[in-house]
Amino acid sequence: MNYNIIAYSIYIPTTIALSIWIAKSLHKNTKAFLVERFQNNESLASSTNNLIQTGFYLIAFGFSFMKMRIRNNAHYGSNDKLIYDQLISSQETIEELAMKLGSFTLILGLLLFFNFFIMLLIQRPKRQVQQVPFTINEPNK
Amino acid sequence: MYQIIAYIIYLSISLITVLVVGKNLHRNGKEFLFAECPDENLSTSANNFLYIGYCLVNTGFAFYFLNSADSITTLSGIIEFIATSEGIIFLSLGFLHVLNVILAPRIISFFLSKKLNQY
Repeated sequence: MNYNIIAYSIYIPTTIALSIWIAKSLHKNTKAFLVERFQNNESLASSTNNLIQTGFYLIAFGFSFMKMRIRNNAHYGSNDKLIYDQLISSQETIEELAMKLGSFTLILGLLLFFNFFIMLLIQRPKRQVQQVPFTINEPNK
Repeated sequence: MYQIIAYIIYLSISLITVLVVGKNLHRNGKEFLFAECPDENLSTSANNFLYIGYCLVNTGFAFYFLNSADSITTLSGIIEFIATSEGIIFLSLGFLHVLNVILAPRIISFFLSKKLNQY
């Protein structure tokens, strides 16, 4: 059991839990904006909300997995050979993990604002929703 | 041996992801496209076209990126290979999907605008 696998086994659950939490809270809070944007069409708003959430999950997981690999830690091994891409002490593990998790949290924050931007870019439907006109039945004279 | 295990895990994860996400988008996108065009048949067929194109592009992408630069000899090598290549697949899926959500209604309404103006 080397330090790399320990670092990965901490990094993967943390990032997955973080992105699921952020996506859940986004899904809860975006709906009001979308309902306003789509002229009170609830089902259209909820399906668009699901589409946005799927995009968020894909991009967040993509970033977290793509940036996971540990690089550029060259050490001298036991018989004076250079070892690359390996953590050798618990201190290095903590430092590396902190840097990776911090950069991932930064990316998640940027992604949240990107999500707002996407919401602005989504087009209002051209077709007006059929609404029953509110009329008062006047008494026949 | 490690290489083959890594390839099998990578391919199964990415193909399952493509199919599951595609199903999800196909289900949710129907309403989204129906808001644009008044014709039910037209929106359903546009949705099916988008689904087929999505599946083809991403399956091709997943198979195309199946190579590792250096040989895999350890367990952490397997984890690194799978995570890095899955990350690239997920990111490209995500950007393609966001682009689709933004552009598909615009394209449809662009093609329909002339027809709608006649009424």
